[in-house]
Amino acid sequence: MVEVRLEKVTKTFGKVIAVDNASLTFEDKKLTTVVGPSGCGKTTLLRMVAGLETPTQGSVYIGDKLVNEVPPWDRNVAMVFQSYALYPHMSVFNNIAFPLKARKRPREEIKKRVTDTAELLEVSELLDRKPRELSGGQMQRIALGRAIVRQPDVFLMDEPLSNLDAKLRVYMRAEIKKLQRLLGVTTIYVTHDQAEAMTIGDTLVVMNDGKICCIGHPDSVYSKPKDTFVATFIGSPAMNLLEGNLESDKGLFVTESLKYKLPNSMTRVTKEKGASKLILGIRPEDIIVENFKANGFVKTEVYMIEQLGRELLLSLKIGQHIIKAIAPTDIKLEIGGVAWMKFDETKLHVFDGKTDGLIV
Amino acid sequence: MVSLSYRQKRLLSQTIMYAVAAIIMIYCLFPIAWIFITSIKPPGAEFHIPIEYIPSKVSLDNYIEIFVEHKFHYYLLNSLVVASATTILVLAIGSLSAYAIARLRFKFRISSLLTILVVGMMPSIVMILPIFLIIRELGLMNTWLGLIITHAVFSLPITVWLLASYFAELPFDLEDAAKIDGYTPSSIYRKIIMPLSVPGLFSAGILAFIASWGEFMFALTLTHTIQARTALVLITTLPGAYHLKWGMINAGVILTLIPIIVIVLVFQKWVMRGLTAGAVKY
Ligand SMILES: Nc1ncnc2c1ncn2[C@@H]1O[C@H](COP(=O)(O)OP(=O)(O)OP(=O)(O)O)[C@@H](O)[C@H]1O
Ligand SMILES: [Mg+2]
Repeated sequence: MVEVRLEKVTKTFGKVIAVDNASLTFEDKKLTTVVGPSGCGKTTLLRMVAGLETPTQGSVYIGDKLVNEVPPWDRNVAMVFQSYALYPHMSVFNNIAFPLKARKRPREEIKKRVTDTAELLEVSELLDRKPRELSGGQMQRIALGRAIVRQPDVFLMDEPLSNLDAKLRVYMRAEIKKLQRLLGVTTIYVTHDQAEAMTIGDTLVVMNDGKICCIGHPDSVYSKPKDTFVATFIGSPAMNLLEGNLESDKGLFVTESLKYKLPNSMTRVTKEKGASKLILGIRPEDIIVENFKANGFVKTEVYMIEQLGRELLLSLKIGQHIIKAIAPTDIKLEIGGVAWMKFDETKLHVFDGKTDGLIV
Repeated sequence: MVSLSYRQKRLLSQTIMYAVAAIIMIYCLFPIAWIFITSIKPPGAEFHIPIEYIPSKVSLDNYIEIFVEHKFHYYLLNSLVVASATTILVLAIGSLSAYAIARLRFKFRISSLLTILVVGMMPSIVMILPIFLIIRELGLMNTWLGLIITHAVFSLPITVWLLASYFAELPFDLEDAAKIDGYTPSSIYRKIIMPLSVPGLFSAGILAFIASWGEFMFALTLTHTIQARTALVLITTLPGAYHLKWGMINAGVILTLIPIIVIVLVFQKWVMRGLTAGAVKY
């Protein structure tokens, strides 16, 4: 069993706090994605697990072993770099064989394992080439091959797909997921692409500003975001947030240009928590839009219409607010015209306006 | 003004380019050609008037004389040993220090680099007395080793600067990847850094070799006999008190030039190959 555990890990570079008091467990045999905006400390976190950086404070465990003092070459982890980091002077074969050679495996074994790996990744015909003779997608596979050939305890992947074009990226996502299932190796997968993180991960870790914001199954992180940061970061297009106050006797959520009657259950919970400044969150796909007036619908102005292909992304204007909503492509609307919208009450989120934390 | 077609313009600009190149070539090569021509004339023929630009008679007597009478091959050997050993020493020490400067984060990184630069810019004449004394005290007067150490000292700064900038270009990820693949820093240095730096090592090595081969002042000061004196220094001692054997002197010059030309031609290709192969770009 190889789980990776961080206990109160902090890493600073001079004055910059790259990772701030992070405690979490990457479960055995699971693929955990770490996602967060650029510069939030994802790479630093990964490099500490790899041993390329030493934590300023805290402990890193791989399995049951405290590895703070163990150099990378003595940890049995494999890493796929964003730049692939293939050795330019070695053939593809030697690139894949390189970690095995470090372990002084017999020549026949190396040959067999490299060819098996190449077959698994469908790159057998590339073994004699040099990295510069490969396409981006091929290099990516070789980098993957070099990681899996040695049967490591842990896979670390730092934005492995970010240099590929969109189509290949989606394809490789599935491949990596499949491979990880097949090999059953504990995997930490770093990305700043939330869609990638959602689809590929068994567990999703969201980071912001060096801190771990939340850990959970992608679905629950999506449906019950812990705070407004997670709510807007996960999911695309991002969740709409409206700041306002609760008029608790009537159960009305009030902003400068909008009054909205909250469901009674929500009002009750919010009252119990004693919050009066609120942020109301609703995802674009949880807004129903019509081009005629219907019961319970609110009048808005169509500010912008974007074609997403399968659907439309509408920007609807109510007073000061711009609310994004998803609508089917066959809806008849025009920019500057009128649209009617309604929130799906079961999908509403209420956040505390002071702490940004989720209330219901 | 006459307007030229595109083709004519191109022709004109090419003609000018070739003309300029030709002038530069002649300026650089004429003295060497002249030295060569003089060296293959029969001894004494260099004084004939009118000057024979194309020698009427070709003879290798000058070459034979310098080998037989002055044992020039021993001096060439001295030059070769000193320059080769200097090159190896400089590359060994220089690449290690350059690597440290390019890669490791230590306190005096910048100041050590600047110190090296200052030492490198110091005119060697300033150093001649202290170095003379040091070499004499070490008992290394008139030895290969004394000259090797001295030449290495003067070649190191440029080597370190050259290699440090070369190493700095190598992506960090490669080393990190190798560490994770199970290699310690010293084997990474051998298996990743060195092979990828071949072009840089060759350029630095060629510079060190040429500098040592052509160095005059220290070679003159620190060596005096056939045991250690270099070819270049010997040539300057050839003019006798009563006669000036230009033919033989020029033969010596040509012989001293040949290894440099060979090295540049042979290894330049290596340097170029390394660069164009995109060893570090991918
Ligand atoms: N070697 C270093 N020296 C100084 N500061 C560093 C170093 N490495 C990272 N940092 C800083 O630490 C913070 C976190 O960096 P990190 O590379 O971990 O971010 P990231 O989440 O991987 O970002 P990205 O998505 O852009 O890759 C950044 O502010 C960065 O500037
Ligand atoms: Mg990163």
